[in-house]
Amino acid sequence: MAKKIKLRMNDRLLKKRARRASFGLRKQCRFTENPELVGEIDYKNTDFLKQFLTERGKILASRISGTTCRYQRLVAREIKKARAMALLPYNRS
Amino acid sequence: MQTQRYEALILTVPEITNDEAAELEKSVEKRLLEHNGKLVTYDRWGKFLLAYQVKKNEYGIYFLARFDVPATKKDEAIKELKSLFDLKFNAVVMRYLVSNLANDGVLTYKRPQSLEETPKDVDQFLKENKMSGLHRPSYQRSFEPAPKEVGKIDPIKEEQADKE
Repeated sequence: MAKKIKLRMNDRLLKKRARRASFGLRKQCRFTENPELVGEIDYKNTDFLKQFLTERGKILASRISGTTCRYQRLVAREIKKARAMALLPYNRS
Repeated sequence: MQTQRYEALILTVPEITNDEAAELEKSVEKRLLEHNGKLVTYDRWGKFLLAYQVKKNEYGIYFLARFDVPATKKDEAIKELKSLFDLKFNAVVMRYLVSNLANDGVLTYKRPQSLEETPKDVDQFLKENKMSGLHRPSYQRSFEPAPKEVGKIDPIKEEQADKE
């Protein structure tokens, strides 16, 4: 049984590696690329924050947008602030 | 004396009168002065369509206040300010958010456009931005005769001429 699980894991990892290789280079974080954009992260600047929302109003995962962990935290915090003030939606149906 | 800068975004009901808005600003300033603070700027953002209903209101009016308070008295001053919104302006203020602001003196910020600023009339918007309409030229909207084009050859007439 244990062997089976191990095999599956290996299979999944291999697939993951293949997927990454097929996409080519890793996604770039837009904040590390040009640090001037960091000043734009503000709960009042909703037009900018809307880039980090899905159609339903969820926060876009960093794995999709390519944002690094540090700036993803900042963005998420400001989006949550804007949501509390009804500037951005919690969910959009 | 060291001061700490804060900003407060206040969401009020859409039916707020000018008197009430002025009173809100005055009492905020008064509360701050009691604690040796100072109101730096006070902006009216205007009417907004909210992302969701707040206290059964579809619309709301935002105000942004920025103020300095001495670092030693900041907790008391903010507590007083919050109680002002919660108790005295209970009927007017729907929500508020007090947040820390960098002390470097930069007061510019970007904000979304309010409903009063967004152009309602398409024609006026096109005129102001010197754009031409996408679907109908202006002479079709009104009953003015179409301007005659000089020097252009009508493609249909040309085809007929070719056939002949």
